[in-house]
Amino acid sequence: MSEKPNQQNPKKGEPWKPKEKFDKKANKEKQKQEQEQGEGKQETNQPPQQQNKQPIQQQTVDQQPTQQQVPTNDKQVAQTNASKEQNKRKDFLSHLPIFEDYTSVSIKTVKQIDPLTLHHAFIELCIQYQNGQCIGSTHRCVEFLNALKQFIRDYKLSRQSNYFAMAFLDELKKIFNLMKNFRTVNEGMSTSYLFIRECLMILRDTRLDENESKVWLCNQIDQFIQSKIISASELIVKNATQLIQEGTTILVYARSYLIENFIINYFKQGKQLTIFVVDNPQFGEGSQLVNRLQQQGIPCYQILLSHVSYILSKVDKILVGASSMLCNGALVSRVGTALLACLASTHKIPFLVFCESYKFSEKSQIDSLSWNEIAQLEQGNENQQYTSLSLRYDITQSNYINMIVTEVGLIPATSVKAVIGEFKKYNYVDAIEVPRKEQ
Amino acid sequence: MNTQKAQPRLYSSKESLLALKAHLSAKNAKLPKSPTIEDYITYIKKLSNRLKQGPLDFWIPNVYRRVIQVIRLMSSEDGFVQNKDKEKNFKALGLTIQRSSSRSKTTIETGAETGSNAIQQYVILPAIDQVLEEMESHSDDINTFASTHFFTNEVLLVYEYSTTVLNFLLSAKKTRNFEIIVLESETENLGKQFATDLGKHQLNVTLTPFTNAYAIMQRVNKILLGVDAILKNGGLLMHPGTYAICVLAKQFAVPVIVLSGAHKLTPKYAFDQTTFNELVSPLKINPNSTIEQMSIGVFSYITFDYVPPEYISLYITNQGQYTPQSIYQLFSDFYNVKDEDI
Repeated sequence: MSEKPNQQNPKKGEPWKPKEKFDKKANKEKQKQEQEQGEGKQETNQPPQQQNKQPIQQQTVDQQPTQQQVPTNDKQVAQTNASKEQNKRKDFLSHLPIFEDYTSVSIKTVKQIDPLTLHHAFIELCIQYQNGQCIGSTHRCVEFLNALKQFIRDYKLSRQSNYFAMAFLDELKKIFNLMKNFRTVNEGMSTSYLFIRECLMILRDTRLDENESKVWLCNQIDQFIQSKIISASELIVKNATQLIQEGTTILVYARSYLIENFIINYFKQGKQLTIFVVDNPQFGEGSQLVNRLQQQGIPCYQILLSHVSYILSKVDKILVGASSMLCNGALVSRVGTALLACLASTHKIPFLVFCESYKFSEKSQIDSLSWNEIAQLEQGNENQQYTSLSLRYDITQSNYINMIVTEVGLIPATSVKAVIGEFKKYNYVDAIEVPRKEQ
Repeated sequence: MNTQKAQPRLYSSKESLLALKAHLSAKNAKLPKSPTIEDYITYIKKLSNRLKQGPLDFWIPNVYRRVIQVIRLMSSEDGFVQNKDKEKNFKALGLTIQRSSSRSKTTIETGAETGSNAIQQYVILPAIDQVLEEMESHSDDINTFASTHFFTNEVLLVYEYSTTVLNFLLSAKKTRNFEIIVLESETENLGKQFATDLGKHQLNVTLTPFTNAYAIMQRVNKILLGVDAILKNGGLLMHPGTYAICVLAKQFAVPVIVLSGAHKLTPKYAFDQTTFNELVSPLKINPNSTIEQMSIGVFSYITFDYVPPEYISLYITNQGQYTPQSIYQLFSDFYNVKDEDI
């Protein structure tokens, strides 16, 4: 009988000890140790996260561990501690970005190296994005372009050269990356960014003077706003007016620039509508819309999202604005829109989306949790034993959407890809007029 | 949270039973001189009409219906009390058949040797006590089913405050590990209160506003809801917003489990959102709304949401577990058809 190598033969005189896996006490202690190691690992994971964020902000400073930067800046200490707690997201949403709260003073201290890196117009804009003064996709895009125009006018080339286009291209990239620290960049802003890049490419080939380049660029931005946002809105309103007969009851969710214009226009033509505005108290957009309509003398009813089931039987159409339309036909919009779309499809109520074409995106998403933005508009107290979660965006699937009203026409949700294909021929926007030297 | 705010329906039912007791023992109770069981029953029906707080008050008539049913059962079987356990009842049925054949004249209805007070003493008051006891212990009976429906590391969704659901979760916590998402409605702070109360017991709780319901629904495994009333067709009257949640749940194929004590069974029928509903002032629900907010045409707030039975997977009551197709059986055991017009 050969001995198995694993067997422990108790030697004479020694007490018998149980094998490892049956020793409950030792296992419990092991588990405790492993837990402590795991927590230690989590803590060490967070300083590297902080380090990853800071290189974006401080490009010329070498990467230093956060502990060394603590004594230099007290505000930064408070920030890193607070942001460590904010970065502790729950398991299933730990992939979503959380944006730290900046004040105007703290931005300047964090980005202390080069005050020219972020123009004051952008700083103001980012703060406005953050505290909710500037929300809504169209509003944000327009404000961004206005800030960009101001930046262009104030921008000076470091040396006299004709390479304005290339230098500015770098600047533009830097700005765009910095802006991503405050809030996610929405699709409209991305499209305008691509448009400006195309303009700069054209500019590079033309050899215009610096001042002339600036003037031309600002003009192009103005044209973009005019054709893609303002004229588009007029066309959309015209298209929608054909769709909606007088006297229908419509339901509107939150606040959309296009829908507001549409309603005001409709009433100016002398027609009547019954309007229900669904409010989401978290962002307060519904009440803003109601206030605005009341100022124009338009009567409307305000209702909460949870009470919508009562009036759904009385509603004829549901109108909703968009943050962007995705390639697979899904709608990215304010959180709560998908709920409304689901109810609408159950009650067989037409669900219409108003969206300009510059908000069409080449991305595809199928659910609301893989990509989103966490809204932290309320300060929770430290002692609360629950975690609060509030998202900003919602993905509505294409089968809930009946029709999209755009300036290129009334299209079904599945045609978004085709429209994007058409635009690609023209670099996402209309053909850009090549500048000529004026002499 | 005091009981009145936490369980307003249970509280009002209990209070009404105590009021009934008080009325019966009062000296100027409007009862005929030697009251029979039928007299007591009419008295109780009249009292229910008086105490009812409006056409949408179901809970006081419900509990009085139950008392009447227990009285009928107790008097017909000569003091034999109806057990909650169905199996025992079958055996007992055999016994009563034997008993009623042997005993004929000594039932209380002829009452020659017993005075009128005896009816009150031996039938009415024990009936009221039994109903009170049923209501007190309804949570314990529901909690027996606590771990049978959950698997480990499940994600549950709950909506607004419900003490029944709270007790259910606390008793399930002993054997299962799960995560809870609390949806809060926009009006009161009930959602926050519920999250705090759950968090005190070291449960993993996330609080979300109602608008995020679609986004998180894909993560949810089951939904637990408390009700205001269960109707005879299986439909439910619940906190406004529940209908939207149930519609979403059907889209995502998430089972909806309804927890309630049997005192919420209401033998009525509804068809849509407007059958049993009341538009109340926004001030009643959200006392912080300003006058400016109220004057700009805020649509009134609704009281109930009607949820059709197709959206529900299971009812767990203290009388057992039922499906929407079979819950009508509970009504015929619990109440008597003659009393449905209270």
